[in-house]
Amino acid sequence: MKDFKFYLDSISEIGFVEKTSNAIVYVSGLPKVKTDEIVIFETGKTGIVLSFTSDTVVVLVFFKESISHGTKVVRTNEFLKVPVGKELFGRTIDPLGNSLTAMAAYKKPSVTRGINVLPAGILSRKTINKQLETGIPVVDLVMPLGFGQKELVIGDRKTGKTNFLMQTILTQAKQKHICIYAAIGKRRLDIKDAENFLIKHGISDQVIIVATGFDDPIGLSFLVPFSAMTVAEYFRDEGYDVLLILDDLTTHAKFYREISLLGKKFPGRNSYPGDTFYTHAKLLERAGNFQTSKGEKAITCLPVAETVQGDLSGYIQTNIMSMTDGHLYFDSDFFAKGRRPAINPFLSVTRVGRQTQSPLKRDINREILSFLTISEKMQNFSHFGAELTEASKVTLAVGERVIRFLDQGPFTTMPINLQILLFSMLWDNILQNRNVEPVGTDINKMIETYKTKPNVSKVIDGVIAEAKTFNDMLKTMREKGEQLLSSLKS
Amino acid sequence: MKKDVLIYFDLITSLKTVQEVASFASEIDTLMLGKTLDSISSNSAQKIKEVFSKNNLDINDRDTVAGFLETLKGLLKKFKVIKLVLAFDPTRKTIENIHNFVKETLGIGYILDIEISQDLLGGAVVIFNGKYSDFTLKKGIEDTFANKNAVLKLIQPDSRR
Repeated sequence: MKDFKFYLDSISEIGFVEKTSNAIVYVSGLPKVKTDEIVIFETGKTGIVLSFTSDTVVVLVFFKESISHGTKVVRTNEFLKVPVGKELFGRTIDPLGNSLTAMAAYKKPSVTRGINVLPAGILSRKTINKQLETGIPVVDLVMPLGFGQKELVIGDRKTGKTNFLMQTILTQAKQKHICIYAAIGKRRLDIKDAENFLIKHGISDQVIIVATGFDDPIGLSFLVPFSAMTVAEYFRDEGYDVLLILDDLTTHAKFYREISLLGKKFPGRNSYPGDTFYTHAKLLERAGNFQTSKGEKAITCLPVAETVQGDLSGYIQTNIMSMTDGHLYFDSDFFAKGRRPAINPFLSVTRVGRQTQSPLKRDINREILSFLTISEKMQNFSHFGAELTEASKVTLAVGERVIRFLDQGPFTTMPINLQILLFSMLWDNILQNRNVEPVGTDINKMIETYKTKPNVSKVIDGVIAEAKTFNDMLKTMREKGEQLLSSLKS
Repeated sequence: MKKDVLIYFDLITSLKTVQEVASFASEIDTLMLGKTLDSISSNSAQKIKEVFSKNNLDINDRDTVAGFLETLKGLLKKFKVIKLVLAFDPTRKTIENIHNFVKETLGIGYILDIEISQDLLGGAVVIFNGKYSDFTLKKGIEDTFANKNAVLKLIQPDSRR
């Protein structure tokens, strides 16, 4: 981008600041300005055009310093672009590509891409057909996700949403997929914690963080998800599958509301502007499974939405639910009971995840869900205080064991084949009335063994590949279960 | 309607710069608060009295005066501003000459916003309706020297000699 004088001389149009209002500046002049065009102030600062009338141009600025009345403004005939490239790996950047961490030798990538692009048409889209592993059994076995799916992560504050997202990033990064975490208006400490988590687990070279703090200009915070999506699209076109996390869109909607009210847009429901749905929909529609020149590649998007006291019927929450392929609901009651992650499988939905599962996984999925439904009903029934039958007591006890199996620590991720194997062992033990826990406290050791000993993992993968149905798997457990368990525990 | 607007013709055409319009507008505001003509400048008061007498309007009729001032204030807002950045501080005569030129070329309803910037050396920058045109001596010299470097390179003596 050139300087103010260059654009003044080349384009020969000028504007003057008439009024400012926090992140919005009203400018007169600039007769041929276009929306989303970049404008430069005499001071060298930039902004983009939000809208214009016959005599006023409304500019969204990306700085907090005040600007005086009468300051000259020029338009650039250019649109906002973000630098993209492999130089971004391991970096925390702002939406304009500037590094936020004081790291040595950061060279801004020379390649740039426009932030505001239309989503791809239907011809380049492919059906979602490959499962995305999160490393968490309650998602991978019960609420499966697919590459290219848009799955909303929704719940109250402090219900473990960010922990779940970090675990998903950990699993995907270890599989050499690219992960982009967009932190919108977060506390600096939370952004730092995310950075430290990535460095600690040695995956920062597969992850890019696009972030703004809560005290950054709201214009910048508004751009964060669009910037992150643009970076994701670049890597998709370069031949990578990308996981994109937008944390969180309810905050983003609040920033957009503030910008719109300052820009004198007519307020709609809850004072949000009427195009709130459009703003988020045009962003989320850029994710999906695509046919690119480098093959079938996907951008999987996990937008986050915060609820208040579990209210799923909020305006922004229902908006995003309707534009995603399902949602994972983090229940604060489950969290209070100690369930980790606190995902409520009865209130969660995955619209396209099950089509990515093999027949074996679908069998297991059906088995777990139907059992959990029965167990939940039995729990509700037991609250009446009536005497329970033996069958009911057994159901409740088994329910406890299944829930214990689905619980997982914050920094543990389990490969999906290991999940299938251990669940099959558990179910076989239950069917044979054995009260043996195949998981217990040495789960971490088993995960480590599976990940580090190829001879063990190869055998397990082979067993699972051979089993066509859950019944086949249970039969195999009867024959080889003890042997497999001891090889994992050794 | 057209006849009503013509009443204000002499008043409108006597205003040449943004500062004059702003000053006159604040005097109108003073009069609209119910003050008498003695509370504004004698020049403006004289002009208003002339308009009333020329058009047989009753200056003592409160409603007539209020309507007159209201319309006048509305007309003052409709002026189109031509901003000029000059390298010198123009005299009153110079401003009148420029304004007359504008009136002859574009018609009435235009006022001048004059800014002084001595580093332009000469000429003027003209800004109107967001369009910016630089006719300054400074730009001319910069453009000449921008090309001159290319010319100098061509005529540079051969370094092998």
